[in-house]
Parts: sequence; structure tokens; C-alpha cells
Amino acid sequence: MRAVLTFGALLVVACTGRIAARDAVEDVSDPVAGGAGGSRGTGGAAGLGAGGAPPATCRATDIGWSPLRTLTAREYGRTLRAVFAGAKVPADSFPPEGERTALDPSARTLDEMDDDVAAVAAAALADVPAWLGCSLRDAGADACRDRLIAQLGRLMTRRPLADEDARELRTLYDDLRSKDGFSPEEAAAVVLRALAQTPEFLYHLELGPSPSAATPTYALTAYERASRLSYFLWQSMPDAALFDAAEKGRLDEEAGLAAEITRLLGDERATETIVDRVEAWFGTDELDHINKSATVYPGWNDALEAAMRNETRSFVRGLLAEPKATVAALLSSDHTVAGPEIAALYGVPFEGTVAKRIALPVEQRAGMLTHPSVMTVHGGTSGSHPVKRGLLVRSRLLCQAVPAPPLDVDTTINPDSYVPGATTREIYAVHLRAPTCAACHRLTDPIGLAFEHYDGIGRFREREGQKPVDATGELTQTDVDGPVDGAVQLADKLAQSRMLDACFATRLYEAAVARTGSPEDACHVEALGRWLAQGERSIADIVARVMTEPSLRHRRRDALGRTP
Amino acid sequence: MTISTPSLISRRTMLGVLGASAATPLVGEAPARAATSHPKRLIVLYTQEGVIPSLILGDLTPGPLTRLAPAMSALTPFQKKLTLVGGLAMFSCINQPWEGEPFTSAHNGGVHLFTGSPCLGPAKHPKLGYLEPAAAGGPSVDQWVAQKLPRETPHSSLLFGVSRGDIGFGPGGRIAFSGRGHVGFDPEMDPRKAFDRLFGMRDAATAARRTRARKSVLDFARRRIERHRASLGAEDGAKLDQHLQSLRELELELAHEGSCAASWEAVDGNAAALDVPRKTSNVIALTKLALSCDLTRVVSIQLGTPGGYGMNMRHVLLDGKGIDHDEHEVSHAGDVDRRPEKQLACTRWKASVFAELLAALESVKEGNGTLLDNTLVVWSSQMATPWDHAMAPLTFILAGGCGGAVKTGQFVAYGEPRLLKARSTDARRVDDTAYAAHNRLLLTVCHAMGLSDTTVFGSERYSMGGVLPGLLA
Repeated sequence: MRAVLTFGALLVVACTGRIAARDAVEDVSDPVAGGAGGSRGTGGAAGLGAGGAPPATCRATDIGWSPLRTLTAREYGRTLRAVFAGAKVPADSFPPEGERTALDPSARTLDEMDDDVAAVAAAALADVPAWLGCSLRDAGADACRDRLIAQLGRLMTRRPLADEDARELRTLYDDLRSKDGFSPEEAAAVVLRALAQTPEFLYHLELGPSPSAATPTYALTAYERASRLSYFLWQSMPDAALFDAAEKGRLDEEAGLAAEITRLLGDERATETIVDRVEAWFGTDELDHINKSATVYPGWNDALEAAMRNETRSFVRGLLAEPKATVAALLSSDHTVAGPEIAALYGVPFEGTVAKRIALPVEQRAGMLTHPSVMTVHGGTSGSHPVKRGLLVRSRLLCQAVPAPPLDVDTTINPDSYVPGATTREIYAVHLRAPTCAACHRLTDPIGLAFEHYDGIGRFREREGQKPVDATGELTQTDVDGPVDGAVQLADKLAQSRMLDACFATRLYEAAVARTGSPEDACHVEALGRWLAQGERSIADIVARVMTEPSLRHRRRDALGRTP
Repeated sequence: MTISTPSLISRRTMLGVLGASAATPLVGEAPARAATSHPKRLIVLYTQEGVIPSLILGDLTPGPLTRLAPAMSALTPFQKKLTLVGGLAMFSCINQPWEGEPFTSAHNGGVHLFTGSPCLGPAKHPKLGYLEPAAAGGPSVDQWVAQKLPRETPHSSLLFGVSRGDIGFGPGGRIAFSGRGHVGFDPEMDPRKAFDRLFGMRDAATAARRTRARKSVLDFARRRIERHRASLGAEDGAKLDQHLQSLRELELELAHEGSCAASWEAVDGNAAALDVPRKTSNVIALTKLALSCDLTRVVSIQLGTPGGYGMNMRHVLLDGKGIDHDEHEVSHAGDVDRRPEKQLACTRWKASVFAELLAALESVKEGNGTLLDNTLVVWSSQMATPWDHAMAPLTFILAGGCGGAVKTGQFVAYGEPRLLKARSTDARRVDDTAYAAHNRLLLTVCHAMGLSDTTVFGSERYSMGGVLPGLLA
């Protein structure tokens, strides 16, 4: 017997390669074995390859490698704003906040960032007394220079500035002043630009208390842990209070850490980050890559696309404002937050022009699962696309990865395999008829077909062409298996699944450690699963629990533990 | 090249008005070079969704080019300067074992296309859970050539991209890599920014102070990176090495600043066009300017992304009409109707872009010939046929004489003729003798560019046989 899913372990449903020769689907038992109280098999999840029962407790130092990362464009934009928060810098001097893609330390990017910082620094330094409370131009100039270096050095490197670095910057400042004829403000601007080009500023640089290549795994400093917290929750640098907590050792105590997490979670930036995470989980952040046929969907345009994305973000934001909002509530909600375009798409009357809370037609809609944004992203160019929608549930929401089609499979459906005027269900039937296709497609299509009531942009339909829609489907290899008729029933089932919470928590953990599927992390992710199974957990609880995960206090130097 | 003194106009004022400046060499004609010989240049062009052999080659047979396939008709004026290379296969990708299965998806082919190296990894796609390459296994040919050519230009290479959105996660969305372990360069997607960076000028009075400030900033950053380098692991360290390389690039740029000028209007001649064709034209104009001005000798152009969602054909025009579909969807099963026509339209558009690029290069006179004659343009995609992700038979379209190094005006095919335009339905059944490894084409590119010391490109196994016969003059 082989238990295919341990919680958190990414299940690669074994249907790759020589498909017909091996029937993986029968090879399944106890899909939620990893949850607390769940019986477990050998634990041999395909994604992790770990064998044997997990230890009751995990060692926090048994972790995968967190690769060195640059800030994302958004983190960079926010960090720059935070650094100069006390100065009078016109808002348009800052670069745009940007997306969640990592900066590439190419010459071009570094050059542009230097231009950004030069512009912001010049604006901030135009009134040093107002900003720093001292002057670079009178009797206290040297002390002011030192204050600027220490204060901005700490902010921009996100840790206390070492004495030798302070000395070096002081020398640079003095040389620019005396040898090159720079004004105090010009020299100070160069100091700030230099700090902004350091690896401490540009990277999530975690060196530990005594940087050395000797140990493969090391504990992070309190300042580094503070940065992990704030970048994860705020996508920005720690604020003064968080730095203070780090400095005073409060992050080393359970209560102090919990208090800081609660405080950070109370900020709007944390809400927006959780909204981002939910969007990334459902894939709606990819909406702007999505193209639709203008012939089939003449109403599809950038405005509708934006309205769809707004709906989903507003809905999740609204949900998070409710006490103890759960992951399941994303799928069982009977309302949404939308404006007239989306209301029209739902067929719901709407007065006014501003987005507001509206009731969903509950017979037709199942919370976020049937949001037009979700159906559009996981829909075809000119039709519904049961495979994409099956993958939405299987791969994204339940964390069971289904392999991409093997190279030697022509994924085009042969037009000879169905009659003209066939429904999507009839066209896709060939996937389940042909044994080579069925091995994988029975993992996706029977789930995806439950979404047949929604067209490629998420409009509800009773008929496809002349034929009534058949939206029957089936969930298999989950903890909520069984037949369903339509996405509302599907959502009801999924809302009961323990795998759903577990998958969300896994995605959060992976984001927090910046790695996925590392075998060393299986124990920590399974521990999260046991905690989840102990009672109903809200989304905020899950986020807080992930952030207190002991393994997040450590870093492994390298994937292979090698040293240069 | 001659370096003209920048006129005393601020960088920002300069932009857009420079067309009339007499002090600077106007690009479009080559700046005078001391030597009579012109340098060789390399352009690699990536397009997404395959170079479909049946469309690119039509019913041509190997030999001198007397006509082109209908999809390629836009290239007819350049027939004598083209070299079609058929019958290749991307074995480094096809045969890369990956956790017991060949790791052959369209998502890693882009990493192989110009590197010919098995990629590193796997990394799991953060959202979809697919295995994706974690990094390239070696340098891409453009970057290798850029690294090996004598460094005489301010930029070792330039990378441009045109895509509707961003180009996606990780190495799988990129085509240019500095070496083993590199996650790929982000191409510059904003032509205006690229213009400012290449041609933006500053007045001489502040240039010295600016350089001093700039050098201080770079020095401080470099010392700190070097300090941390030792305490990080090998793979993290490699990232910092890349960063150090960027700092060296910037220092070189500082030394060459202000050596060339151009006007944005000259670059943005098609301002009324839709987004994608406009940016594509911008990139072509920037390429022409940068090469003719000797700002670099290597340019990489990425149209779309190996991930497939970079290009919406609704944003381009063909015969005055938008093409109403998403090429990626056409490639897959999304639209089962009218696929051949749609794929023909997409290929025709790509051929028209290629023709626009060649025309731009041809318009610059260099000695008795043109910039195109001194350039090698290499166009391909990570797939032959996108619907099955087949990586054989792969076609490369070369153009330009590369300073006389490449024999043009011919169609050269390798491997078994019967497989030339066959749609490979099982690339894993492709044996090594049926096609020539695309590594050998990449190796041939190195030799055309004068790097005859390069004897292996990417995978050693697939470099066997060396330079492809019949291509070099």
C-alpha cells in the first residue's frame, strides 16, 4: 500500500510517461494521511520521497535551502518609501511600487535604481534639518553627518551599521567634500546611493550572527527575523517598532513574537499581502496575461478584466475584515463585492456605479470558485476548458500536481473525434476514452466538467449551443470524493476538505521560505497540517502560525551544503 | 570608432531634439571607423510557439534558394542573404533525464535553445507545481560570444523583449544566460528606457562629478559584495558574481558614456501603431542604432516568452487586420477550428518582423556592403511544432553574411531527408543520427563570429561532429 498524499507533500499524481502501462490511480489510499489522527501509510509522497513516519517533533534546523533573493519590485518601491518616510519627498519622485517579480541585478536595473535613489535622496536632502533634526552646514555638521550615516545606514541595510562601514562612508563623504568640491547635500546623496547599492539593501541577505562558511545551517539574527516578518506580511521593511522589538530581544520570546505578528497583521499592508497570496493561489493575478477571442467574447476588454480583478480582490479583502474568516469561506460565500459590469455578468440587478456588496445567485454561484476572474483565467480563449478548470482544483487548490502532457502527446483534439456542433463535454470526451489520455485526464476533466455552466469569461449558461449543459463531475483521490452536479456542489465539497486549508498553508510556508518542495521541509509542513486538523482555523490564524514556525528562524547556506 | 564630444545640452533636453545636432554622428549612417574592416555583429531572435517546419520551409528542397515558402514571402527581398538550416534537433532537451522522465516541456526548451546545455534544477513552479528549470546549464550563444569577443564597446550585449505582460517566472521565461547556474537575463521591455540608457546624454561640465559619484557608489557596493561572497554558499555566491559582473559593466559604460547620439523620434517612427508592433519596431530601430554606433556587437531579441502567453496576436496587424486569437491557445487545443490558417498568420507576422529587422540592417552602409553583411542574425524558437512541443526537426533561419564568414542564399538540411518536415510525434524516439544536434549550429555561430577556439557548445555529447558542414564560407 502506498499513501500518495502526506499533507503538504506535493502529490505528483503518477500518470507521466508511459501512461497506459502503469495504472497509478488505483494505487491510492488514504489521501489525507498526514492530517492529525489520520492513519498514514509509508509517507512516500512522490514530491518529497521521504519514507517512514515523521518524527513527532521536527528539528528547526532540518530545512531546505532558501536561495538568496533580491527584493521584488514592489518590496523595493515600498522599502525606498519607508527609508525616506520622514523626509519631504514628493510622491512622484519615487519609482512605482511595481509587481511581485524579483529585481534582476543586471547593470541596467542597478543603473535605474541608482537614478531612482539619486532623485529621492536629492529631494530628501533639500531640507536636512526638517528630516534629521540637524544641519550639515553649521557647527554641528560632523555630528549631523555621523547621524545621517548611522540612521540611514541602519534603515537601508536593515541592521545596525558596522563601525568599519560607518568609517568608510564618513571618509567617502569627507573626500567628496574636500577633494571633489561636492556640497554637503551632494556628498550625502552619494552616501545614500552607495548604501542603496549594497547587497544588504538589494537582497534578502541573511548572514546570521557570525558570517562564516563553516556551518551549513545557522540561526538568523533578530534583525533578519524582523525583515522576514515584515517582508512576508507587508512586502516592505520593518518599521521602527519592529526594529525595536528585534533590538530588545522581544522576537526571541513567544509572546513578544506573537504580539508583533498580531500588530503587523492589523495593518492594511498585511491584508493586501494576504489578498495577494489568495490571488496567487487561485491564479487570478495572471488575469492580465489572459487573451480571449474578440469574436466569441466581444465584451471582453481591459475594463472588464480590471473589474474582474477588482471584484476578487475586494471580495477577499471584505472577507478578511470578518472575524475568523476561513479558507473554506472563500468557496462558500453567498455574496461578493462588485460594480455594475460584474453584476451584469452575474445577471444581478445593480443600482449605481460604485462597487458594493451584492448577493450572489446562490443556485448558480459558489463564492470565489466561480468568480468571473477565476473562470476567465482558467478558461479557454473561446470556450470553457475543463482541463484548466480541473487543474485549478486539483493542482492549485488541493496541491496535487498533475504533470504537463508528455512531449510525445499531441494535445490537439482531432476534429474527427466529434460531430459538428458538439458540446465541450462531448469534444473533451475523447480524453477519457483514449487510455493514453485518460490516465491523467481523469484526474482533471471530471472536476473541470463540473464548471460547464460557465463560459470562457465566467458567464452562467444553461445551454451550450442548442444543448442543455451537463455539469456533472466527480472528485476522486481527495478527502471529499464523490459525484457532483455543478460548481456549487463542488464548492460545498471542497469547503469540507482538509486538503484545502493544508494546501493554502503549504503555499504560505513555501512563500515564507522562498522554496518549494524541499524534502527537508516535509516535517515542518506536516506539523502545520497536524495543527490545522486540531480545530477550525481562520486565514489569519494560519498566516500567524506559519510565521511562528520555528524552522523560519534558520537558514541553510546552500542546497547542497557546499561552500565556495 | 570616433567618439564625438557631447554637446552642452542636458540629458533630458537632448532627448527628442537631437536629430538636428551637428556635433554628433547621426546614426543611420555608420560612424567613421578608423579601420576599413567592420566588426562582426550577432543578433539572436527568439519567437514563441515554434518555427513550424512546414510553414518556414514549405516545399523547398535543399540547395540554392530560388524562392521561399508562402509564409516567408516578406523575406523575398533578402533571399540572397538568407540561410535556412533544417533537420536539427534539440537533443540536450529531448534527452535530458529528469527524475526518471525526460524533462521535455516547452517550459524548459527556452533554456536549451541558445545554450545547448542540460538545465539545472528542478524548481517547482510556485503556483502550478510543474517542474521548471532552476537555472541554465551553460551560457547562451549570444552571451558566450559577448563574453569572448574583445571588449571594445560600452555594452557587452543588449537584450530587448516585446511581450504583452511580463515574461513569467524564472529561467523558463528567458532566453539569454551568462553561464551555468544563471537564472536568465530579463530583457529590456521598455524601448524608451532602453533609448534613454543608450543615448541619453549629460553635459560635459557635470560629467566628471557624476563619474566620481558613480564610481564611489559602485566601489562601495563591490567591496561589500566581495566581503559577503565568502560566507555564502556556492549557488548564492554565483548570484553575487553575476552582480559583480553587472558592476563591471556599469564601470565600462561610465567610461564610454556619451559616445553616441540619436533621437527618440527616429526610433519611434511608428508611434500610431498598436502596442506590440510599435514596440517591435522600436526594438528593431534600437538594434540598428546600437549596432551601427558600435555601442554593442551582440543583441538578443525576445518576442514573446517560452511560457507562451507573451504574445497576443490581437495586438498585431497582418494585411491591415488584427489576428483574432492567442497564439498559445492556437498551439494547444483551445481552438480546434481554423488552426492552420491561424498558424500561417502568426508565422507570416513573424517573417514580416524578421524582414523589418533585416531591412533596418540593410539600410546602414558599411564599406562596400551593409550592416547586414557584417551581421549574423539567428532566428529560432524552442520548438518545431508547438502543439506537441516537438523539438525536432528544428529549423534555424540565419541571415547576413557575418563579414563574409557565412555562405548565404541557401537551404541546408541535415540528418535524414525524409524527416525534414515531418512532424515528430515522438521526439524521444528520435535517434541521434536522424537529425543534427542544434549544439552544432550554435558552435557554427561561434566560429562564424571568429571564436574558432570554441570546440564544444553546451553539451559535449551533442557537440560531437563539430561545426556543421556547408554553412561557413
